[in-house]
Amino acid sequence: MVTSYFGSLKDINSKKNEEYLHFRGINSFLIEINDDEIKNLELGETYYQTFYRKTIISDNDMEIKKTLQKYRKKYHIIAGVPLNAKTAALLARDNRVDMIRINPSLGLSVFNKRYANRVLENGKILEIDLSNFQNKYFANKVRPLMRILKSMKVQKLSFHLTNLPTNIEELRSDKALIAVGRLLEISGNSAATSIISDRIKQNMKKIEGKIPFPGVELDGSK
Amino acid sequence: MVVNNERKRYILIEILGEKPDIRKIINECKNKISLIDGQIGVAKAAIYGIDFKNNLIIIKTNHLMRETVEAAIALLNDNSWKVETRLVSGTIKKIKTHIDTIKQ
Repeated sequence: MVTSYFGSLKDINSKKNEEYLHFRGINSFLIEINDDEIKNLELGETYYQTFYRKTIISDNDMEIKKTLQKYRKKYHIIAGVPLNAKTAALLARDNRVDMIRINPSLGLSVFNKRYANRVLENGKILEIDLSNFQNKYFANKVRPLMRILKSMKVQKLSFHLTNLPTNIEELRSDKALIAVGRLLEISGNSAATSIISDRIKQNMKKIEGKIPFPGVELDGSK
Repeated sequence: MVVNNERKRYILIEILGEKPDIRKIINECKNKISLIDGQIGVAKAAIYGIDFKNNLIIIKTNHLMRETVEAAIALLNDNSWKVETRLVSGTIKKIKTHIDTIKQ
Protein backbone atom coordinates (compact mmCIF):
# COMPACT_ATOMS: atom_id res chain seq x y z
CA MET A 1 0.00 0.00 0.00
CA VAL A 2 1.12 3.60 -0.63
CA THR A 3 0.18 6.13 2.06
CA SER A 4 0.39 9.87 1.62
CA TYR A 5 2.44 11.55 4.34
CA PHE A 6 2.87 15.28 4.89
CA GLY A 7 5.40 15.18 7.75
CA SER A 8 9.17 14.99 7.77
CA LEU A 9 11.23 12.13 6.37
CA LYS A 10 13.22 11.86 9.63
CA ASP A 11 10.17 10.50 11.51
CA ILE A 12 9.89 7.58 9.12
CA ASN A 13 13.54 6.64 9.47
CA SER A 14 13.59 6.74 13.29
CA LYS A 15 13.66 3.34 15.00
CA LYS A 16 11.06 4.18 17.66
CA ASN A 17 8.35 4.47 14.99
CA GLU A 18 9.20 1.13 13.41
CA GLU A 19 6.86 -0.85 15.69
CA TYR A 20 3.99 1.55 15.07
CA LEU A 21 4.38 1.43 11.27
CA HIS A 22 4.56 -2.37 11.37
CA PHE A 23 1.37 -2.42 13.46
CA ARG A 24 -0.43 -0.23 10.92
CA GLY A 25 0.92 -2.39 8.06
CA ILE A 26 2.43 0.56 6.24
CA ASN A 27 5.49 -0.15 4.11
CA SER A 28 5.57 2.50 1.41
CA PHE A 29 5.08 6.25 1.57
CA LEU A 30 4.17 9.02 -0.80
CA ILE A 31 5.87 11.94 0.92
CA GLU A 32 5.24 15.61 0.35
CA ILE A 33 8.63 17.32 0.26
CA ASN A 34 9.98 20.68 -0.80
CA ASP A 35 12.28 21.39 -3.70
CA ASP A 36 15.20 22.06 -1.32
CA GLU A 37 14.67 18.83 0.58
CA ILE A 38 14.66 16.69 -2.57
CA LYS A 39 18.14 17.96 -3.50
CA ASN A 40 19.60 16.86 -0.17
CA LEU A 41 18.07 13.38 -0.29
CA GLU A 42 20.17 10.30 -0.67
CA LEU A 43 18.02 7.72 -2.37
CA GLY A 44 17.93 4.31 -0.77
CA GLU A 45 18.63 5.58 2.75
CA THR A 46 15.22 4.53 4.07
CA TYR A 47 14.06 1.06 5.02
CA TYR A 48 10.61 1.82 3.58
CA GLN A 49 9.76 2.41 -0.04
CA THR A 50 9.43 6.16 -0.50
CA PHE A 51 7.99 8.15 -3.35
CA TYR A 52 7.73 11.91 -3.59
CA ARG A 53 4.75 14.11 -4.26
CA LYS A 54 4.20 17.80 -4.83
CA THR A 55 0.93 19.56 -4.14
CA ILE A 56 0.24 22.70 -6.13
CA ILE A 57 -2.15 25.13 -4.47
CA SER A 58 -2.77 28.21 -6.56
CA ASP A 59 -5.49 30.42 -8.03
CA ASN A 60 -3.35 31.52 -10.96
CA ASP A 61 -3.23 29.25 -14.01
CA MET A 62 0.06 30.65 -15.35
CA GLU A 63 1.72 29.94 -12.02
CA ILE A 64 0.41 26.35 -12.12
CA LYS A 65 1.80 25.86 -15.64
CA LYS A 66 5.23 27.18 -14.59
CA THR A 67 5.27 24.94 -11.51
CA LEU A 68 4.30 21.90 -13.58
CA GLN A 69 7.06 22.63 -16.08
CA LYS A 70 9.58 22.90 -13.25
CA TYR A 71 8.61 19.93 -11.12
CA ARG A 72 7.07 17.28 -13.38
CA LYS A 73 10.26 15.27 -13.85
CA LYS A 74 11.37 15.60 -10.22
CA TYR A 75 8.36 14.13 -8.43
CA HIS A 76 6.56 10.81 -8.78
CA ILE A 77 3.11 12.29 -8.24
CA ILE A 78 1.86 15.82 -8.77
CA ALA A 79 -1.40 16.82 -7.09
CA GLY A 80 -3.36 20.01 -7.50
CA VAL A 81 -5.80 21.85 -5.29
CA PRO A 82 -8.02 24.17 -7.34
CA LEU A 83 -8.99 27.47 -5.75
CA ASN A 84 -11.30 28.65 -8.54
CA ALA A 85 -13.17 27.29 -11.58
CA LYS A 86 -10.41 28.27 -14.01
CA THR A 87 -7.67 26.39 -12.17
CA ALA A 88 -10.01 23.43 -11.65
CA ALA A 89 -10.51 23.22 -15.43
CA LEU A 90 -6.76 23.52 -16.06
CA LEU A 91 -5.92 20.79 -13.54
CA ALA A 92 -8.47 18.44 -15.09
CA ARG A 93 -7.14 19.10 -18.60
CA ASP A 94 -3.35 19.09 -18.11
CA ASN A 95 -1.66 15.72 -18.69
CA ARG A 96 1.13 16.49 -16.21
CA VAL A 97 -1.26 16.48 -13.25
CA ASP A 98 -1.93 13.11 -11.61
CA MET A 99 -4.30 13.97 -8.81
CA ILE A 100 -6.90 16.60 -8.04
CA ARG A 101 -7.91 17.21 -4.45
CA ILE A 102 -11.58 18.08 -4.05
CA ASN A 103 -11.94 21.52 -2.53
CA PRO A 104 -15.45 21.57 -0.97
CA SER A 105 -15.47 25.38 -0.74
CA LEU A 106 -15.85 25.60 -4.55
CA GLY A 107 -19.16 23.79 -4.33
CA LEU A 108 -21.38 22.19 -6.93
CA SER A 109 -20.80 24.88 -9.55
CA VAL A 110 -17.34 23.38 -10.21
CA PHE A 111 -17.44 19.82 -8.91
CA ASN A 112 -20.40 18.33 -10.73
CA LYS A 113 -21.10 15.44 -13.10
CA ARG A 114 -19.63 17.29 -16.07
CA TYR A 115 -16.37 17.82 -14.18
CA ALA A 116 -16.35 14.16 -13.12
CA ASN A 117 -16.62 13.10 -16.77
CA ARG A 118 -13.77 15.42 -17.69
CA VAL A 119 -11.63 13.98 -14.88
CA LEU A 120 -12.45 10.45 -16.02
CA GLU A 121 -11.61 11.21 -19.67
CA ASN A 122 -8.21 12.60 -18.71
CA GLY A 123 -7.46 9.69 -16.36
CA LYS A 124 -7.01 11.73 -13.20
CA ILE A 125 -7.29 10.48 -9.64
CA LEU A 126 -9.47 12.38 -7.19
CA GLU A 127 -7.93 12.92 -3.77
CA ILE A 128 -10.34 13.00 -0.86
CA ASP A 129 -9.40 14.73 2.38
CA LEU A 130 -10.75 12.72 5.35
CA SER A 131 -9.08 14.83 8.05
CA ASN A 132 -12.41 16.40 9.05
CA PHE A 133 -13.60 13.06 10.43
CA GLN A 134 -11.07 13.35 13.24
CA ASN A 135 -12.86 16.37 14.73
CA LYS A 136 -15.50 15.75 17.35
CA TYR A 137 -18.40 17.31 15.43
CA PHE A 138 -17.74 16.90 11.73
CA ALA A 139 -21.23 17.07 10.20
CA ASN A 140 -21.00 20.68 8.98
CA LYS A 141 -17.62 20.12 7.37
CA VAL A 142 -18.45 16.76 5.79
CA ARG A 143 -21.82 17.82 4.35
CA PRO A 144 -20.41 19.85 1.36
CA LEU A 145 -18.05 16.99 0.48
CA MET A 146 -20.92 14.48 0.57
CA ARG A 147 -23.02 16.68 -1.74
CA ILE A 148 -20.12 16.98 -4.19
CA LEU A 149 -19.46 13.23 -4.20
CA LYS A 150 -23.15 12.56 -4.74
CA SER A 151 -23.22 14.87 -7.76
CA MET A 152 -19.94 13.46 -9.12
CA LYS A 153 -21.16 9.87 -9.09
CA VAL A 154 -19.66 8.43 -12.29
CA GLN A 155 -18.65 4.83 -12.81
CA LYS A 156 -14.93 3.92 -12.85
CA LEU A 157 -13.86 7.17 -11.18
CA SER A 158 -10.79 6.47 -9.05
CA PHE A 159 -10.03 7.96 -5.65
CA HIS A 160 -7.07 8.34 -3.31
CA LEU A 161 -8.07 8.64 0.33
CA THR A 162 -5.91 10.53 2.79
CA ASN A 163 -6.29 12.13 6.20
CA LEU A 164 -3.37 14.54 5.57
CA PRO A 165 -1.15 13.12 8.34
CA THR A 166 1.58 15.50 9.52
CA ASN A 167 3.00 13.17 12.17
CA ILE A 168 3.43 9.41 12.40
CA GLU A 169 0.66 8.89 14.95
CA GLU A 170 -1.96 10.28 12.57
CA LEU A 171 -1.13 7.65 9.94
CA ARG A 172 -3.85 5.10 9.23
CA SER A 173 -3.81 1.86 7.29
CA ASP A 174 -5.50 1.62 3.89
CA LYS A 175 -8.21 -0.61 5.38
CA ALA A 176 -9.06 2.07 7.95
CA LEU A 177 -9.17 4.84 5.33
CA ILE A 178 -11.40 2.73 3.07
CA ALA A 179 -13.70 2.05 6.04
CA VAL A 180 -14.05 5.81 6.61
CA GLY A 181 -14.43 6.36 2.85
CA ARG A 182 -17.40 3.97 2.81
CA LEU A 183 -19.23 6.50 5.00
CA LEU A 184 -19.01 8.84 1.99
CA GLU A 185 -20.29 6.02 -0.27
CA ILE A 186 -16.87 5.49 -1.89
CA SER A 187 -16.48 1.81 -2.72
CA GLY A 188 -13.39 -0.16 -1.80
CA ASN A 189 -12.58 -0.92 -5.45
CA SER A 190 -12.63 2.71 -6.57
CA ALA A 191 -10.28 3.65 -3.72
CA ALA A 192 -7.97 0.64 -4.05
CA THR A 193 -4.30 1.26 -3.30
CA SER A 194 -3.27 -0.33 -6.59
CA ILE A 195 -4.58 2.78 -8.39
CA ILE A 196 -1.91 5.06 -6.96
CA SER A 197 0.88 2.47 -7.10
CA ASP A 198 0.15 1.81 -10.81
CA ARG A 199 0.28 5.54 -11.49
CA ILE A 200 3.63 5.82 -9.68
CA LYS A 201 5.07 2.94 -11.75
CA GLN A 202 3.90 4.60 -14.96
CA ASN A 203 5.36 7.96 -13.93
CA MET A 204 8.70 6.37 -12.98
CA LYS A 205 8.91 4.95 -16.49
CA LYS A 206 8.15 8.40 -17.91
CA ILE A 207 10.86 9.99 -15.73
CA GLU A 208 13.38 7.34 -16.84
CA GLY A 209 12.46 8.06 -20.46
CA LYS A 210 10.96 4.64 -21.18
CA ILE A 211 7.70 6.27 -22.31
CA PRO A 212 8.75 9.04 -24.72
CA PHE A 213 5.15 9.92 -25.57
CA PRO A 214 1.72 8.40 -24.79
CA GLY A 215 1.16 4.97 -26.36
CA VAL A 216 4.85 4.18 -26.93
CA GLU A 217 6.99 2.25 -24.45
CA LEU A 218 10.67 1.38 -24.94
CA ASP A 219 11.50 -1.96 -23.33
CA GLY A 220 15.28 -1.76 -23.94
CA SER A 221 15.61 -5.06 -25.87
CA LYS A 222 17.10 -5.06 -29.40
CA MET B 1 -43.89 -17.72 16.73
CA VAL B 2 -40.56 -18.29 15.01
CA VAL B 3 -38.15 -15.36 15.19
CA ASN B 4 -35.05 -15.36 13.00
CA ASN B 5 -31.83 -14.68 14.81
CA GLU B 6 -30.21 -11.50 13.50
CA ARG B 7 -27.08 -12.00 11.43
CA LYS B 8 -23.89 -10.96 13.16
CA ARG B 9 -20.28 -10.17 12.39
CA TYR B 10 -17.26 -10.75 14.58
CA ILE B 11 -14.49 -8.16 14.28
CA LEU B 12 -10.98 -8.99 15.44
CA ILE B 13 -9.00 -5.95 16.53
CA GLU B 14 -5.43 -5.68 17.70
CA ILE B 15 -4.18 -3.22 20.30
CA LEU B 16 -0.78 -1.56 20.48
CA GLY B 17 0.38 0.13 23.66
CA GLU B 18 -1.03 0.01 27.18
CA LYS B 19 -3.60 -2.72 27.70
CA PRO B 20 -6.88 -0.87 28.39
CA ASP B 21 -10.08 -2.23 29.89
CA ILE B 22 -12.27 -3.89 27.24
CA ARG B 23 -15.28 -1.89 28.49
CA LYS B 24 -13.38 1.34 27.86
CA ILE B 25 -12.75 0.39 24.22
CA ILE B 26 -16.38 -0.65 23.71
CA ASN B 27 -17.58 2.64 25.22
CA GLU B 28 -15.23 4.66 23.02
CA CYS B 29 -16.53 2.70 20.02
CA LYS B 30 -20.13 3.43 21.02
CA ASN B 31 -19.34 7.15 21.37
CA LYS B 32 -17.88 7.24 17.85
CA ILE B 33 -20.85 5.34 16.40
CA SER B 34 -23.10 7.80 18.19
CA LEU B 35 -21.27 10.68 16.45
CA ILE B 36 -21.55 8.96 13.07
CA ASP B 37 -25.01 7.42 13.21
CA GLY B 38 -26.68 8.68 16.39
CA GLN B 39 -28.16 6.75 19.29
CA ILE B 40 -30.33 4.63 16.99
CA GLY B 41 -27.14 3.59 15.23
CA VAL B 42 -25.63 2.50 18.54
CA ALA B 43 -28.76 0.48 19.30
CA LYS B 44 -28.74 -1.15 15.85
CA ALA B 45 -25.02 -1.96 16.04
CA ALA B 46 -25.49 -3.90 19.30
CA ILE B 47 -21.79 -4.03 20.10
CA TYR B 48 -20.50 -6.57 22.60
CA GLY B 49 -16.93 -7.32 23.58
CA ILE B 50 -16.49 -11.08 23.56
CA ASP B 51 -12.89 -11.95 24.20
CA PHE B 52 -9.68 -10.15 25.14
CA LYS B 53 -6.44 -12.11 25.05
CA ASN B 54 -2.89 -11.16 24.04
CA ASN B 55 -3.81 -7.67 22.78
CA LEU B 56 -6.53 -9.15 20.54
CA ILE B 57 -10.19 -8.29 21.06
CA ILE B 58 -13.21 -9.91 19.44
CA ILE B 59 -16.19 -7.59 19.03
CA LYS B 60 -19.63 -8.82 18.05
CA THR B 61 -21.92 -6.57 16.02
CA ASN B 62 -24.93 -6.62 13.71
CA HIS B 63 -24.00 -7.38 10.08
CA LEU B 64 -25.87 -4.34 8.74
CA MET B 65 -23.82 -1.99 10.92
CA ARG B 66 -20.47 -3.61 10.19
CA GLU B 67 -19.22 -0.75 7.97
CA THR B 68 -20.09 1.91 10.53
CA VAL B 69 -18.42 -0.05 13.32
CA GLU B 70 -15.28 -0.50 11.20
CA ALA B 71 -15.21 3.25 10.48
CA ALA B 72 -15.70 3.99 14.20
CA ILE B 73 -12.76 1.72 15.06
CA ALA B 74 -10.63 3.47 12.41
CA LEU B 75 -11.47 6.85 13.93
CA LEU B 76 -10.59 5.86 17.52
CA ASN B 77 -7.84 8.12 18.72
CA ASP B 78 -6.11 7.67 22.06
CA ASN B 79 -2.59 8.57 23.11
CA SER B 80 -1.90 5.49 25.22
CA TRP B 81 -3.25 2.79 22.88
CA LYS B 82 -3.91 2.31 19.15
CA VAL B 83 -6.34 -0.09 17.49
CA GLU B 84 -6.35 -1.75 14.11
CA THR B 85 -8.95 -4.04 12.54
CA ARG B 86 -7.43 -7.37 11.55
CA LEU B 87 -10.32 -9.56 10.39
CA VAL B 88 -14.09 -9.55 10.01
CA SER B 89 -15.95 -12.83 9.94
CA GLY B 90 -19.43 -14.25 10.29
CA THR B 91 -18.33 -17.11 12.52
CA ILE B 92 -16.36 -17.00 15.73
CA LYS B 93 -14.64 -20.25 14.78
CA LYS B 94 -12.87 -18.62 11.85
CA ILE B 95 -11.72 -15.73 14.05
CA LYS B 96 -10.30 -18.18 16.60
CA THR B 97 -8.43 -20.18 13.96
CA HIS B 98 -6.99 -16.88 12.69
CA ILE B 99 -5.82 -16.05 16.23
CA ASP B 100 -4.17 -19.48 16.45
CA THR B 101 -2.30 -18.87 13.20
CA ILE B 102 -1.10 -15.49 14.52
CA LYS B 103 0.19 -17.14 17.72
CA GLN B 104 2.10 -19.75 15.74
